[in-house]
Amino acid sequence: MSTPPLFPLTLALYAVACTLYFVAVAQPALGWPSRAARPALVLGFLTQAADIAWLCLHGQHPGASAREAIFFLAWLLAGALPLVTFRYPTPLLGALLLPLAMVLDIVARVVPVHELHSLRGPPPGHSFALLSAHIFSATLGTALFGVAAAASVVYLLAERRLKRKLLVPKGGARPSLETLDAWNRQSIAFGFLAFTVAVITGTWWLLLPGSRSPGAGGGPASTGLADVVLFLFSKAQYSLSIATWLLYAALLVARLVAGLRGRRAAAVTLSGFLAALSVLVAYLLRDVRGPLP
Amino acid sequence: MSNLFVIGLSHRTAPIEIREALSIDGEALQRQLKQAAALCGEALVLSTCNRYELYGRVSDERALVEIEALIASKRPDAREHLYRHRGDAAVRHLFRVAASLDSMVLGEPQILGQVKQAFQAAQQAGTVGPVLSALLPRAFQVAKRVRTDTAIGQSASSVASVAVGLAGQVFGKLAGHPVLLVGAGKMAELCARHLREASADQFLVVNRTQKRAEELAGRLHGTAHDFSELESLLGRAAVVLCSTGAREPVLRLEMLQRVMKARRGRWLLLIDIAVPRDIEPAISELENVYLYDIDALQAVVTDNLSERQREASAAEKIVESELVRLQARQREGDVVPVIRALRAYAQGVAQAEVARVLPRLGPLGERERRLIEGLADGVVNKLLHGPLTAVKRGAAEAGGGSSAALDLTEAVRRLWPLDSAGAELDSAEDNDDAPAPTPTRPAEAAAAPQKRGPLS
Repeated sequence: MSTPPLFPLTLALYAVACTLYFVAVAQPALGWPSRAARPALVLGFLTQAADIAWLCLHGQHPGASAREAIFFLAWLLAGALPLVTFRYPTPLLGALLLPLAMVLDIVARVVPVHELHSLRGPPPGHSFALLSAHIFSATLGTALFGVAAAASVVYLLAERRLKRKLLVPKGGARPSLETLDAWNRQSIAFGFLAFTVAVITGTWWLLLPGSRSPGAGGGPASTGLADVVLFLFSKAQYSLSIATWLLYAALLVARLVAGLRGRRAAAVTLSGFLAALSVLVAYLLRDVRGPLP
Repeated sequence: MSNLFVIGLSHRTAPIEIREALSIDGEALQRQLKQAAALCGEALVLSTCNRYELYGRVSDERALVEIEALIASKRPDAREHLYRHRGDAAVRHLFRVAASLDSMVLGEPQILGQVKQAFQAAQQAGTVGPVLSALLPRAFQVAKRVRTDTAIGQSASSVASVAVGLAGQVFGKLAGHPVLLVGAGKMAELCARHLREASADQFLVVNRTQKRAEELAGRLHGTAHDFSELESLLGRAAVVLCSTGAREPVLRLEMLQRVMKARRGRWLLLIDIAVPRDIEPAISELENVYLYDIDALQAVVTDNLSERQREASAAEKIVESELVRLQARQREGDVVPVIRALRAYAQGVAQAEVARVLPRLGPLGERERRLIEGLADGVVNKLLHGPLTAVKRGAAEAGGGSSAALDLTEAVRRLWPLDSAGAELDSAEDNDDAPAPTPTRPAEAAAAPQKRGPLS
């Protein structure tokens, strides 16, 4: 049940696309590896979509566990590539995002986790919808932060070349610094929206009495603000999520108000993505250990 | 193709005064093309700032001497700078020229357009015959293949084009990104023109002498400003081209720090082509500021040209492979008349025999007649298949005049009575303007209407 049927094919197609992107990065004068990578990537994206549909039919939808959320995140990252690089074939972006997607895919499939539903059964109706919305929006937000982070790496490398007056790499049209920065800004703006929804729905869900499993630590000691805050921040995943949200909020404000852009914005974006990944890791560790005693 | 020649001179063989004297266009070019075609049947003149070349088709040495005299008529001392190539060497030269392997700046793209223009001019003058009309499109294909299969033309090869490339790397499209020219020098104007070709549409010019700023702004469809506005203009500009003759830096670190603060970190590309430098080097440390001085630009150009040089060997291989393909096709074309003559001769014999035998067989139905005629054709085809395949294969594989292909062709001529038909066909191949031979025998009747061009 845990390994969907097309998973090996998906991984093989991503590996082919990834290798081609690496060749394109190493040999910028060759245009064909980048072009050849795209159909392999799109096929892999479609086979993974079929796998996600298959998992949903078997009750393992992206909201069911951190593992399925990670699998879904990998699919979003792979799907973002052809969309983002539609105008500018940017093999470096592929060489960054696809390995990440592959690692997430493998982690999602090989790490043994306690599936929430099988352990506890599905939560009550409105609570279940809230949880699904939370996981979906958090995954979407993290995927967009991933795209922003990859664009930031491409920006930092391109900027370094320009500053050091290195030979301009050959090959077709490349995204300019301004374009890369715009990709960063837009991905973060939409990712932040999704992540905000995730934080709100996650907070709400945590405070619903019916959402907590028996023996999972109970709720806040009282309905007072201090007790609620103490209860929420006692959970590592929640604290990390809020830290990530604050980091991206600060970045957006700095961009809008102080005109932050370029290298510094790229560096903050990378830190933010690491924080977002740490949230996922925290959830995954929780699921590996099983519900808290 | 063996009759093709090129006589000319280029930046490799002649100084600029000679090249200038031979440079020709417009009506004078049309006149010269017609004069040359009168001497050698076909003519094409390629006249650029770096070369003058006359391509034609001739079998007579005297005509070549007259062509040389025609070329050197305006400048007699040009003769000593002329090079001459014939046959395969002339084809190779044309392919190399079109592919920009013989250009002053290796891999520059303009030459292909110039060769195309020369071809159009020759077509307008009516001096293009079967050789040039078949050869030039092939030269265009070779040039295109070189550009797509190698990176010879991908990197910028001049300071101005490097500046354009840098602006593209920082801003992408230049439309809507103001370009500020500090100083109104020739080099800055050249760079600005390149930027305008790359879609830059806003030019701001400041210069110590206001009149020169206005003149340059007028030429670039931009606006001239007073030098005192420099700092505020720096706040608006995306690309700054500095080329003043000042002894001290015009753009100082403190000024740029203030400017970048006012710009809220928007990217700024500074191109300093002045010597002594107009921009303090420490400015390059500022965030989102990219400073390239003349040495940095020249270093990129040198690297790019080295890269082009490395790609040139791959391009030369493409030229040679295309030449070999062309030669193989040419040789195949050479044996086609013999093959056709043999096939027509054999079919003629078979048809004659069928015509002789049919009356003796008594009354036959239409189906039986067709069967007998088909039988004769089938026997002819099967008998000839082996020899004809061997002749074709030998032609495709062989190279050089004493090849196995020529031996096989000669053997076919001797084994079957094809001499008279073959002689007429040969003469028709040599003289492309000559009328097709009047068919007198089945072999000739079959071969004559199907005559192919020399490069087919």
